[in-house]
Amino acid sequence: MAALLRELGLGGRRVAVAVNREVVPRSGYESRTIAPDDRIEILEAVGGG
Amino acid sequence: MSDSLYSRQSHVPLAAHRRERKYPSLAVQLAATEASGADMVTVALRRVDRRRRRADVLHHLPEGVTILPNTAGCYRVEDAVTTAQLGRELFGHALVKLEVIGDERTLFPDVPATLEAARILIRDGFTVLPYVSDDPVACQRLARWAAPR
Repeated sequence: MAALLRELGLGGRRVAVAVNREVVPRSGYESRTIAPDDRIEILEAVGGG
Repeated sequence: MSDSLYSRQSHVPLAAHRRERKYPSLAVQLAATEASGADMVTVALRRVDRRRRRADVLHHLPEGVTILPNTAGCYRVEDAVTTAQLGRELFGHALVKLEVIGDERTLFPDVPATLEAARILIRDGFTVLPYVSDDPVACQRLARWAAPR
């Protein structure tokens, strides 16, 4: 997961990640592996309430 | 099962963008937020857009305000729950402004879906600030779940 975020240019960005609807904590990015059919959501905060 | 998580989000950027354009600049937004004396500021959670180098809204908030993530743009219970959980991961607290939208044009809430999502999130330890219409029965139910006697 950490490698994917780096590849996407999101390494330094404050994002939150879910794989198949399950939240991956930031501390778990290095150890979390991803598989071909995984559904990965990467969200960030934007203005607007 | 819908084909995609947050599948409707891409169809409803209007409201979010309209809200983003409330202020002519982030500097004005920061000044207005400071002047308001608000303790809490709501932010939306959206899929990252790699092409847009968006100015980080979080850098333009006064020191010490509590950031309240919302689930705007979610039309399904599961999407709202996952979005709330991602907000908890992002901000380190379990406070969420819960929105499950029921109508794309008016952005009115889907009250039954909001109740369902609220129940799941309260059980998961969240403090839920729900967006609901003025239905006293729904609101009493939410209050009962949030503060069981």
